Amino acid sequence: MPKQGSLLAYTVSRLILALPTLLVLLTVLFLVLRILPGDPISALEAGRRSTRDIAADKARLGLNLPWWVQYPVYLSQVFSGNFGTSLGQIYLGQPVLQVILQKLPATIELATGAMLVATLVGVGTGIIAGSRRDRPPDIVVRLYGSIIWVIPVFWLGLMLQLVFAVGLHWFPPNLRYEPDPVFFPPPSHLTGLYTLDSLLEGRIDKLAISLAHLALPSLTLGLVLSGFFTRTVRANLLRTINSDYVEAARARGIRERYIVYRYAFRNALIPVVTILGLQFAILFAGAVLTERTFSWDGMGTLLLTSIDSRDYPMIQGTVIVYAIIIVAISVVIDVINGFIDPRVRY
Amino acid sequence: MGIVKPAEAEDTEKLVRSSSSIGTILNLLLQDRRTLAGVLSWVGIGVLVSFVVIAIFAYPLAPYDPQRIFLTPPNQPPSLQHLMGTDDLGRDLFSRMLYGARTSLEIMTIGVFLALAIGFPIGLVSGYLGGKLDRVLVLVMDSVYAFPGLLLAAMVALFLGKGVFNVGIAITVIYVPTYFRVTRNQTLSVREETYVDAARALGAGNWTVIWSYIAYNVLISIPVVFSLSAADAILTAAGLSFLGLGLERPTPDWGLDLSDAQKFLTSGVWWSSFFPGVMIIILTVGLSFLGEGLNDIVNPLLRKERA
Amino acid sequence: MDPMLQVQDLSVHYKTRRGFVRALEELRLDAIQGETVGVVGETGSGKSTLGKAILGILPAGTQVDGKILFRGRDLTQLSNQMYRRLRGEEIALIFQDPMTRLNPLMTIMDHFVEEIRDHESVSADEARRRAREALVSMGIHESRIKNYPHEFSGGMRQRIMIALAIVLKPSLLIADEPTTSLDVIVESQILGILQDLKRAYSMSLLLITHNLGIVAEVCDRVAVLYAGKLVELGPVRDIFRKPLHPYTQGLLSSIIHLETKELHSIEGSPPNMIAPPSGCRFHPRCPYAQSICVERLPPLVEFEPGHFAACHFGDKFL
Repeated sequence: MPKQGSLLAYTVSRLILALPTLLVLLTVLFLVLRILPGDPISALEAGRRSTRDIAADKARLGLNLPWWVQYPVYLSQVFSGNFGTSLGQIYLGQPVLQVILQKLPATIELATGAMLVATLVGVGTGIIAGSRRDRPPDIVVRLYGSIIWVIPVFWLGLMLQLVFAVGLHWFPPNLRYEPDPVFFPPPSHLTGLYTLDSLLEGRIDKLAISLAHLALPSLTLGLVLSGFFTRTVRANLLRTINSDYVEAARARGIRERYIVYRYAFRNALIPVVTILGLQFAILFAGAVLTERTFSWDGMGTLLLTSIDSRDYPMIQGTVIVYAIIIVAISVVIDVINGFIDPRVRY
Repeated sequence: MGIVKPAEAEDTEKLVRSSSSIGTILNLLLQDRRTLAGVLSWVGIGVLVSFVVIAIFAYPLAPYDPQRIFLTPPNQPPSLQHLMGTDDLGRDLFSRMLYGARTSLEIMTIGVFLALAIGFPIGLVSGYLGGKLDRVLVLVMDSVYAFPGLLLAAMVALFLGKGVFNVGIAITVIYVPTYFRVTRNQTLSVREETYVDAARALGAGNWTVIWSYIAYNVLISIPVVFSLSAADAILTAAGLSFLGLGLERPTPDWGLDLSDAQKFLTSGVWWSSFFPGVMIIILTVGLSFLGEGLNDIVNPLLRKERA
Repeated sequence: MDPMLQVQDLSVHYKTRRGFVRALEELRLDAIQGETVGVVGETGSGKSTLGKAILGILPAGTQVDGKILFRGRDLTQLSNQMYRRLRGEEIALIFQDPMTRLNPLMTIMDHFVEEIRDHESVSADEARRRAREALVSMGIHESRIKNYPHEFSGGMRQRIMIALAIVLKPSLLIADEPTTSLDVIVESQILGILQDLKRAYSMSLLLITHNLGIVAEVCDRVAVLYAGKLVELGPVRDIFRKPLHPYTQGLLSSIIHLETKELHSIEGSPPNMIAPPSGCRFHPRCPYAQSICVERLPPLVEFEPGHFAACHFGDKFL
C-alpha cells in the first residue's frame, strides 16, 4: 500500500471538505455583520456622527445595496484578500489585511505558548490520574480538571499578574516586550514572532526578555485549556490500559514500558488529537481575553480597538481571518490524525 | 455471570423508564448520595440554589444599595463595614456582588433556555428524518460550533447593543449548536431501538414517534449539557462584559466590575478584582460539578440502555 | 512421563466493589508433553481465568493461591522479569476475540518484530524473516505483512494471532475459545491449524471451550469446570461414554442429538460467584441432589483409572 500517496489523497480530500465549512462560516458572519439588526454602520456609529456622514460611509462600503448584491462582492473580497482600508483613527487608510498580518504573529506566539503549557500540564496530569485510578492523586487531578476550565481566563491572568508581577516581580506584568525601545530594542522584524526573531538574530538576551513577557499570558491561557487535556487523557488512558490488545501484548511477554508507550499511551492520544481541533475555538476566544488582560498587541487587541474606534472594515476583516485560521487548523489536525492513525486514512 | 434477562423484559423496562426520564434522574440522585458523582451533583445543586436565593433576595440580603457612593475615599480594603471593600467609585463591593448574581443568572437563563428551545427541536427533527436536511443542518451547526463562541457572541452583541436581554440573545447563538449536536446524536441512537420500531409498526405517525417515544429518551442527556453550557454561558457573559461589550454601567455585573477594577490592580487594590472572579468561579464550579455528577449518573444508564 | 504443566490447588479471587468473586477454587489439572487437554464449562465457570492465571496476567489486586508448576518450576514464585520472558517464549495464549487483540496503530510486521526482539537478541532482518515465515505458515500472503490489523478479516486476524503465539516456538499453547467468534468454516480451518501445529512442534495444548463437539474432535483428556470448581476430569472417551458428574451429564445431553433432534438444557442459572452455594456448588440445579450435597463439598475421587469426579454419588453412575 503506498502510504505517502494515500496520505496525500487524504489531505486533498480534507481540504475539499473544508471548503463548505469555510463557506458556511463566512455566510454566518455575513449574516451577523450585515443583515441582522438593520445595518452595522448605524449600530456602530449611532449618536456619534450625523446621519449624512453615516449614509456616506455606508455608500462607500457598499452597505446601502441589497444583500444579494453585497454577498457576492463580500465573498470575492474575502477570496481575493482585499478587505478594504481602515476607517479607525490608528490605522486610518492602511489596508486591513496588512494590519492584521502585522498583529497575527503576536497571537500565534501566545497561542503556541498556551498550547504548549496546556499539553504539558494536561497530558502530565492525565497520565498521573489515569494510571492511579481512584487513588488520591487521581481524585486531586479530577477535581483540578473540573475546576480549572471554569475559572475565567481574565481573572486568572489578573491574579497571576498580582502575584508574580506586582508582588514577586518575577515576570513583567504586561506587553510583549520592554516598552523602552532605546534601551531595549526589540528583535528585528523577520517573522514577527519575537522569540523566533531573537533566535534568528542570535541574541539570547532578547530571547530572555521575550520569553519573560510570554510566560504569564501563556501560563494563564494554557492552564485554563489544560483541563480538557487532563480529562480526555485520563479517560482514554483508563480505556486503553484495560484494553484487549494490552492484555494480549502482556500475554506475548512484551516489555512493560513498550506496552505502556506503544499500546496504551499512543492509542489514548488519538482521540485527544481528534477533538483537539475544537479546542482551538476555545483557544482563540481565550486569547482575545488574555490579550486584553496583558495588553498583548495581537489580533484580539486589534479587534477590540477596532470596536472602540468603530472601524467596520477592520472588525469584519479580523473576524474573517479568525474564521479562515480556524478552518485551516481543523484541516491540519485532520491530516496529523491521518498521519498517526492508519484507520482514518481510508 | 449473573442472570440473563430475556430481551422482552428489558424492553418493557425501557418503555417504563422512558416515560419519566427526568424522574429517573431525580431518583438516582436520591439513591446515589454517597458516591462521588452523587456528592458532586448535590454540591452543585446546593451552589445553584444558593445563588438563585441570593439573586431573588438581593434586596433584603445586601447591606447597601449597589449604586450608593460612599463619601469615604474610594478603593477601601475589606472591613467589617464593607465585607469585600469598596470599588473605585466608593460603592460597596459586597452588595454589588449579590446583585451581580441576579444579572448573571438572568443572562444565563435567557441564553441557555433559548438555545435549548431552538437546538432541541431542530436536533430531534434533523436526527429523526435524516437525509439532505440533516446533512445541511449538521454542516451549518458544526461550522458555527467550530468558531470561537466568544467572538461570535461579541459580534452579535456589538450590533444588538448592550443590555441583559441582548447579551442573552448573543449567548444563545453559541449554544444552539451544542444542544443540536447532543439531541441529534441521541436521537440517532434512540431511533433504532426496538420499541420505536414497534410504535412505528403499530401505525404511529412521525410526530407521535418523535414526541412520545424519542423526545423523552433524548431528554435524559439534556440536564448534563444544560449544567455545563450554563457554566460556560456565565463565563462567556462575564467575558463579554470584561471586553466592554456586555452591560451598561452602572449595572452590577461581575465581569464589568472586574474590568473596571483591572487598572487599580498594579497599585495593590486586589479585592475589587478578586471577589468578582471568586463569585463567578463558585457559581461555575457548582454548575460544572452538577454536570460532571449527572454525567456519571446518567451515562451508565445510557450505556445500559444501548447494551 | 512427567507432566509439563501441573496446576495444584489453584484459587483465584477477583476483587470487585461488591466483594471477592471466587473465579477458581482449588483447581487441579495437569498436562504432559504433546497432550491436548480440553477445559469446558459455562460462561463464568472460571475457564478463561485459568489461562490468564497460568500466564500471570490477571488484573492487579487479584488474589492467587496454590501452585502452577511448569516443567517443575512454580510460576507463582517467578520474578516479574522471568515471568515476562516465559510468556510467549514457553507458554503462549490465544484469545477468543481476535478483532480487538492487535494494536490498531502497528503493522503486522511491527507486532512480530517487537515480540521476537523482546525475547531474543536477533537482528531486525532476522526477526523480519522469521515474521514472514510464521505468517506464510498460517496461509497469509507475505505481501500483507506491512498491513494494519483493520485490513484483515476476523479469521485472518485469528491466524495472525496464532502465528504470533507460535513464532517463538512455545512448548505449551493455551487457546481460550479460539473459534467462538468465527464462523463454522473458519472454525474448522483454525482447529485444523492447531492440530497440525501440535504435531509439528509436539506442543501441549490447553483448549478452553464451551463446545463439546470440538473437545470430542481434538482433545485427549477433558476437565469440566462448574462455578470455579473442577467437577470431572478424565480421558475424553471415558467422559463421553460414562459421565460421572450430573453437570457433565447435563452438558452432554444439551448437545442436540442428531437422531432424536431433542435438546435438553440444564435447569436454572449459573450461581452467584461472590457467595456461591454451600456444599456441592451444583446442588441447586442438580436433579439428584440430597441433603448431603447441600452440607458437604464432595471431594475429587478417582472412580476409574484416570477418571476423576467430584460427586457424592459418582459411584452410582459407574
